[in-house]
Amino acid sequence: MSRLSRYLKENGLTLAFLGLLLGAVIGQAFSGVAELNGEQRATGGATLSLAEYVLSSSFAVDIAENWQSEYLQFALYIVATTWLVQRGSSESKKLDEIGTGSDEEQKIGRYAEPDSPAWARAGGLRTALYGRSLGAIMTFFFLLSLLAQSIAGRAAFNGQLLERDQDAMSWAGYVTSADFWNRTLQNWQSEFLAVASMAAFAIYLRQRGSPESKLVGAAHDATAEDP
Amino acid sequence: MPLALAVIVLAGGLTGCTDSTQRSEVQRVAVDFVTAIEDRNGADACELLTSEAEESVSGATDVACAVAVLNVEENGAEVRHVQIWGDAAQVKLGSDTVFLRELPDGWQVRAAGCQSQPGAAYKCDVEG
Repeated sequence: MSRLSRYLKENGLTLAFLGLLLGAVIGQAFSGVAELNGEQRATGGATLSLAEYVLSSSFAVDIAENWQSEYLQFALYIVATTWLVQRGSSESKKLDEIGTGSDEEQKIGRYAEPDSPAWARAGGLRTALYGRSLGAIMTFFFLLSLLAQSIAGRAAFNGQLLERDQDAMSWAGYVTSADFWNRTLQNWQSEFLAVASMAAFAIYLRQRGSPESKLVGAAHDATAEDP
Repeated sequence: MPLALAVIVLAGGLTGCTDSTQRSEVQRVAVDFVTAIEDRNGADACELLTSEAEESVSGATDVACAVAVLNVEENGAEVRHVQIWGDAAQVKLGSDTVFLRELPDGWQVRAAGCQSQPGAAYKCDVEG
């Protein structure tokens, strides 16, 4: 197997989804500019090129509002599954494993193994930070995307306000506006539904070969870690 | 990638995505419109209106735009405030507030003679 083939095989999950992301964003850009230009032509307005549309506030807010909700979903799920369990779900730890676990269970500090990451072995603040880095990076991207949504959303909404003979809004005004929260909550509700569905469906339903599922023959009240 | 998005959005959003050329063009059209009315030059003022706004000036009457538009009350053309968001703009000048739209052949006045209403949209003498 060549180095490239091996690289593709070993990173197939990440690469496949990055490819799907790219394809979907390109598709969104083409369909978005077509929709916007259709509206502009119908009202005699100026049309945008694809490049102008991709740099516009309406494209940015559509992207950012979806990204922030996805990062929120993962940040919450990563942290919530530390403390919340679901009997029988492959998405959950066992009922008696609630919490962050002991140093020995987590293989940190003096319990670190030879191939453990350096910050897992270091102890103190570095190990504490590293032990929360996955949730932290998801939270960071959530907040960054939410900030991007608020700025781009304000720009797009202010365009609509001026078209309706109204004054533009400040950023502070926009983040407390119905438009901002309607965009935000309609994305959040779908993420929360998806998490609840996954946690519950995984109790009774199986996907043969997927690490997201219990073994096909596993009992309904068994977790993924049960033999 | 989220970082790249944030940089683009922050750069664009904080500046309102406008450049100085666009700003001066918007300002020029608004000032020219108000000045034309103050100079009693209705024909020039009407040329700066969108076609919808031009139609609205005459309304149901058969008075020409160039005559009817002179009923818009103006009081000076000193620019106090300019906002541009996408293809929409607002200029506060003199005693008036003017709304503009960017069309394929440039910025044009969409609404003029506008006075703010508490908790509602501006009330405009010319509305396209």
